[in-house]
Amino acid sequence: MRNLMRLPGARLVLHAVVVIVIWLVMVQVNDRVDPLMNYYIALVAMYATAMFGMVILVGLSGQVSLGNGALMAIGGYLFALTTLNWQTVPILGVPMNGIWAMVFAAVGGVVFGLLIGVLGARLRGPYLAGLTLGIAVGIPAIANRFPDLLGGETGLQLTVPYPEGGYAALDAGFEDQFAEVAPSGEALLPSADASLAPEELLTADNFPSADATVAPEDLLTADTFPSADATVAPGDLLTADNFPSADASASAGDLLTPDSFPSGAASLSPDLGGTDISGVDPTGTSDIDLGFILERWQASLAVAVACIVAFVALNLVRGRQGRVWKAVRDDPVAAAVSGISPAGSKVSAFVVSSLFASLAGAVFAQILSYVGPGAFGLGLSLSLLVGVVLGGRSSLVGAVIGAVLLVWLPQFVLSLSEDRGWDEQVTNNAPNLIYGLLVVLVVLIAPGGLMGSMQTLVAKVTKR
Amino acid sequence: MSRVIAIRAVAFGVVAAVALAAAAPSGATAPAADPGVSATQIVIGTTTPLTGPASPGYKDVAPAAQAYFNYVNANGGINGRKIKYVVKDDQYNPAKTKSATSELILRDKVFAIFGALGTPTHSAVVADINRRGIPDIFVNTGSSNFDNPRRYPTTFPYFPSYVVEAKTMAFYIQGDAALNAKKKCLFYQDGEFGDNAAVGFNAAGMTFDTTVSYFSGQQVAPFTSQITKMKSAGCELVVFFGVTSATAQMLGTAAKAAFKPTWMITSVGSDPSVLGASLGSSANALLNGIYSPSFLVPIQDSSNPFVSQMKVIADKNNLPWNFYTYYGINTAYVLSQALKAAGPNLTRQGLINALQTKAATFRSAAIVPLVFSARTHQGLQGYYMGQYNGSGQLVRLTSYVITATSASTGTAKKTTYRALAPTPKLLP
Amino acid sequence: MMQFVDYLLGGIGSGAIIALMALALVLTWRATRVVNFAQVGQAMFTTFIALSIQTATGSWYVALIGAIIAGAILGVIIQYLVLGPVKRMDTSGAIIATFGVLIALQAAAGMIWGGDSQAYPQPFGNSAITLFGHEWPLSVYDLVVIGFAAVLVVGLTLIFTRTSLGLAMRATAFNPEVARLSGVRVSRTLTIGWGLAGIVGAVAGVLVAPTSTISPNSFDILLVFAFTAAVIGGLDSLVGAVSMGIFTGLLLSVVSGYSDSSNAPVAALVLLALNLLLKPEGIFGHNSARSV
Repeated sequence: MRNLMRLPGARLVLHAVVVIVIWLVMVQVNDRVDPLMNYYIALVAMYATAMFGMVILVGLSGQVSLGNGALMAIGGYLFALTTLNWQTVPILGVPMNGIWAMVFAAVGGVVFGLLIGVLGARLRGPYLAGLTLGIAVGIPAIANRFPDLLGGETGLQLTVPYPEGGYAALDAGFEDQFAEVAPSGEALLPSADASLAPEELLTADNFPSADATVAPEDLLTADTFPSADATVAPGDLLTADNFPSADASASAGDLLTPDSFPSGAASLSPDLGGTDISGVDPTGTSDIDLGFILERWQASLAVAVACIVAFVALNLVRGRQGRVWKAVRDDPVAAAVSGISPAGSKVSAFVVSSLFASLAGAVFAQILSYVGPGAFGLGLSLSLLVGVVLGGRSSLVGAVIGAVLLVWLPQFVLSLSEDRGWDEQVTNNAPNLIYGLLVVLVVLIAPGGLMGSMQTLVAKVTKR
Repeated sequence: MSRVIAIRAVAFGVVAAVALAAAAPSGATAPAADPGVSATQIVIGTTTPLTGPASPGYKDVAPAAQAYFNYVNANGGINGRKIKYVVKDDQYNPAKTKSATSELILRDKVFAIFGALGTPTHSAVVADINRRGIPDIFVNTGSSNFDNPRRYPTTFPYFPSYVVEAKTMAFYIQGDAALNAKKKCLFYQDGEFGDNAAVGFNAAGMTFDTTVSYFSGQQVAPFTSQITKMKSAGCELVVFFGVTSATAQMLGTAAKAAFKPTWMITSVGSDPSVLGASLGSSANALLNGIYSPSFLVPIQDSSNPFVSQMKVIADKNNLPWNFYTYYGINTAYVLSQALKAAGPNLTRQGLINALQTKAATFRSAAIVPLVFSARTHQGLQGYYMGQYNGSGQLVRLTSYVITATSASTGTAKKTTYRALAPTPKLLP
Repeated sequence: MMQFVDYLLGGIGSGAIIALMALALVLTWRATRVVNFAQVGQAMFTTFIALSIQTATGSWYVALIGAIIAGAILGVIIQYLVLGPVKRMDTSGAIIATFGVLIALQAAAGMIWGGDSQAYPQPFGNSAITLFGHEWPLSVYDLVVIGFAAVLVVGLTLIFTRTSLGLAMRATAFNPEVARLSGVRVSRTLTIGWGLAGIVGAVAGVLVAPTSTISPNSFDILLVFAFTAAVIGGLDSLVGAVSMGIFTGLLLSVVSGYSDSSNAPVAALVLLALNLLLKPEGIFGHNSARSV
């Protein structure tokens, strides 16, 4: 085995096999789970993509970054801008927008990684933290400065380039239907007067002003609440029928009974005839049966990107470059003496991690079908650091564990505090409290992350 | 080598175990044509900030709606169905909104989304909700983006957009010679507030002598430079478009600088109870004389049957009696009427049809017309102008209401509107 | 020109607050070589405690003293429970630990005091001072804030330069191992450092609350500006943190005044980037910030 590994290219093949096996397994899993699980898998794969970069930057190269969420924003926005503004020619019937958008995101990630790396490679821990914190806050804020191009605080919605049969086509269907009836939406906006039709619906005679005519017994008072202990049969409760229809408000009540309308699925009024939107017909459309499961597509895409990135990361980490990064992290002076450029090594770590973050950002944009400063804020940057520290900062498997934790922990802490009958402000805040304490606890108990602890554990067991 | 493999195996084992645990099948589907509705239950869901920087004030909306639904359920529900309201905290983060909404749709199998809060947050999910044909009722935002029945056929924003509000303000100012003669300045929050305000005032042909802005989150530092700028520009009428916490900051900073223009503040920026809590004892003095458009019966008007009855629900549930609670109960009340109007065979299409055709018959504390139709999904399209008195109460100045559309052209106009009386016991 | 002076004066008050928060960050950095993300959370928490005391007693001064005591205790507790055990950790681990504390503190405050913004009473006059026929955008309260900042800086500088405790703290900050060998009780000095930082943060919180409001997240943005100021000031320098804090306040005010306010955070970022590019060790830094 050992000799086999010495063959040229053997490592490359091994890594490829590992990644392809994982990919094949994930494809099978993807096809068998429900859409919500697809969505979670997509999120985990997306986080893992970004966290492979964090492992290289934080774990191997020994730098700190509070700003990788902002680098994801770079990828996300570049992806969004490309798909929104650039129509490409399909090749063999396949629309190339998505692929080009990913390429642009990758290039943008490399460029920004280079910029930040050159700025940051010269800085020690806390100063680097300061710079990257500034980036984490400053880059998303750029979107607010260019609202016309970048959508401002509201962000940009994008139609993700799907394979055929995706919802892009369905969307177009909506547009077509309305295009026939309402060529110009604005022109058809009814004036407030017309849509009010006060003569028909709400004349003073029928519905006197609210202040005047409610009989005192019609008012909701504290007594109206069925008391908890007394078991009043529902029939004994006061209902609209109990009240004489002498006063106007009771006759107003008549308007609202279901009988006054022919049927639940009432047709639209004749004057609007053509604009009936029943063509949308959500009735027959069960949630997941659109012929195309969006979440499954997102998960396949995110997993594919994560696998490609994992392959690159495996080769870097387990190859020469990985040893260079570690050498500079452990002893920059010794590394420099042996001919390695410490600054170059650090910049390269930034470039790689920025590239991965950018690709993850592009995937995130597709999962959300949206980019906006709120989604790529300081919180995201810090989550990436939380994930890589909790998972294990010097191992790619640790990155995957961290990604799973980032998706699973919030669910877990939420489930701990649900339906406990606590006071509302306690229930609302309990998940965050538990989350914060758990993060501290894991850092204290497992300073090397879960992966680090497992390695220690396995080492102890195997030594015996 | 074997050790490394062992570690790998353990690691993958853990990952797989966690994945499988999370993958456990969850939630039974309701046996009805549309998800989320059965003979005895309607499941609706929402995403809203219950914690985090955006939560002050907003966190009260969903619990208030929940309180109203509980009240309806205790009184027999709607057409025999009880409402189950699933509230998810998204901390005003669009990425979390996406996850929460996916869970609402795929795990909780909601029949409709009701009262989702925020423009950036809802922008991340509105297309997906519509794609699935899920009714998206009463989005809690003043942004005009979501009123687009062609693009978002299931989305129904409730409260009048900031564009309508800007047109309303312009209409009122232009109709009052004394106000119109003042040197006018605009102070806005960067983003949708500023953008929408610009659209509305441009359409109304109103220009400002000076415009200044602040960025969301800047409230923590006093608005000294903005106030200084407006003061040295000699502003006499300041129109403010922003959130309530910023209003508090602005009024406090202006008082400090002895800057005393006539203020006109957006309805979302002038909740008197939140302002009172933020400004402390000086609140009433600072609020006195401030103009503010509104669309609901003034919250302090306890003689009004809507206000007094909604307050009963709030008090019964120990909810703070503020604009957000009031608004939450009010929208839940309107939704309940829409669900009832959709008839016993409740379907998503039926609910949408009910909203589009019967909105004018729904009663609510809004004293401006509710005008949903197949062509516009912007519910309320008008305001009345109010002014705060010395005891912190908003007094209605206009017997008429000022209505407008969110379109980038067209001005506001006077409309007479008389609200319907509440239904008995405030039940749908 | 007058307008420029007005903008400058308008920024002094918030500058002094940023300065105090930056000072707290520098103190924890000097003590344990940790950038304390929880600092604003601690300040928020103690300000809520102060508000409760203020409501109960009606005295602004009692509330301030309560906040100071609470700040010291909280700082010591966090150092003892969290940072003590992880002080061997790398920057990332320590940052994440303090970040966890921040989330927990904000959630705890939300549980105890609710999530709403609350008013903090104004202890002194907050109207503009009129002098020489001009209304200056500066109030008595601003002067009090600046006074507090000045007293704290002078006091801390005296402690650091004139007392044996200060010597021990400086020695520990420089090299804990050598300090330990020279007979310094290192863990005690670390704890005192965190206590002092907690006090400074608590004072900053009580001082900033009346000009704004207090809610679990209301100090979040302060962290960014204070961290920027501390880094530019050189992280090790008390004077650097304070002067750069005030400078950041002035910059934000002037930028918001002359251009759009959303340029203010970008200006702070540009300042930070330029500083790290040209003088990475900070304006007042002594140690080398570059590792190679």
